[in-house]
Amino acid sequence: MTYDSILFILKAGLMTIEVSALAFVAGLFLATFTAYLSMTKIKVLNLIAWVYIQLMRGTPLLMQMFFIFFSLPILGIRLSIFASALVALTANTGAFMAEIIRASIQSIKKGQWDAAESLGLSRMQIIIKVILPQAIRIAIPPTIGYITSLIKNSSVASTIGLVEATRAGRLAIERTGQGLLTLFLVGVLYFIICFPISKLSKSIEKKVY
Amino acid sequence: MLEVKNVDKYYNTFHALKDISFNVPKGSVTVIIGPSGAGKSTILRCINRLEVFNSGFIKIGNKKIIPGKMRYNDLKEIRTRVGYVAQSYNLFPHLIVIENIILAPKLVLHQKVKAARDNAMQFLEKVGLADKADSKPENLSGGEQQRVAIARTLAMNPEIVLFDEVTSALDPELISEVLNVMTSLAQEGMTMIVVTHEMGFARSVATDVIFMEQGSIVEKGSVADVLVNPKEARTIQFLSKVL
Repeated sequence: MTYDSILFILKAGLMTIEVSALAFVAGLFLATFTAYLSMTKIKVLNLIAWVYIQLMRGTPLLMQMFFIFFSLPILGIRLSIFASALVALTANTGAFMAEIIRASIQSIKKGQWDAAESLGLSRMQIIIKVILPQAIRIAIPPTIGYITSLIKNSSVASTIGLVEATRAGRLAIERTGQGLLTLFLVGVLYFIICFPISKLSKSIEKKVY
Repeated sequence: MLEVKNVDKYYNTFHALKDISFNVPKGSVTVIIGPSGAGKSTILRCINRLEVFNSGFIKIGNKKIIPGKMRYNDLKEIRTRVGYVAQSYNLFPHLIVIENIILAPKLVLHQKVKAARDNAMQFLEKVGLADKADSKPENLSGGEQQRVAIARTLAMNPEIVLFDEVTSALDPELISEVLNVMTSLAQEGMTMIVVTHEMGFARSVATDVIFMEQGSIVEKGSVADVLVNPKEARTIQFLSKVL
């Protein structure tokens, strides 16, 4: 194992972090919007949100990424490797986080709405001052769980050629022939990224309220 | 002060309130009794429009609640005048006691934080919980939480307060601390509508009693009329079971 190979894998680890972080942030906006669609009283919007969520959850990420990278160009939409990976991971995050957001909000007891409404608060005030602070706390553990699986799922992007941690590992193996050691190193790298994030969950929960 | 006129309410095909009419004069304490499913809570929830009804109207002073959609500004005005305390207290668990109380005065009445706090402390004192101002709701007993909920409602300076079975979820020895607060409120002249199974409270504090069953008012009148000399057979039967 050369110093160069190790550096190569570590640098690719930064790509794993970059694509995951961007997908999470963009996906969170998409998820908030989707959660809103799924909770309005307008049936058509509920249906649109439902179909999108089920499509994302019911098909493999690998297929979604292949579709975006290999099939969309046939329809004239050509995205770079990085953009394809980012779009697929963002779309996934949008669907999964939308369900976490919706479930967290709907888990707040109706009595909280009643109390706030009977005190004269507007719907917006109720959501911002009463419901969200409680819902965010509930959403933290599943969100942290989702972030760690997002980081690991970003390895699927190696199949369309994105040089992130997993692909860098495979390239290093081809160069050095040291399969076991290299895979071990890549595994450790994922762990080092994910473990602190898992540990964060508890301390964030305590800080929220 | 409050007029309920010909109110009907349906849940799909279920006729929950049937032609309900009654008046609540200023300073009176109206107790609503009846078996479960009678529509007691439903009519209370209609009075501050947590529930929408299908026909009739409810008038609070010069403000009118009508079936169907209403503007938020009208709702806000109604809910500011009408306080509501529920069986399950519903304190906001992410806020400490004092913040629970000043939230609505700040957001809805636009009170300054300092004024809202001073006001809130007065009400906490009134319900005997001034020392709990900085506690989390989760660290209070059920009776204490319910008293905070009453203080939270009073901090909005309502003209009338609705109590919806506020002692039903409490341990027997905690019930009296809540009833005492309600009794002293009544003595100060607060207009109240109380749904309760506490007949002792009804006898000693109520000025008017309404007996409801299956969505209808069976009998209404003074305490002497309804609790002591009921005329309807169904009222007599019900009272014989609960007294």
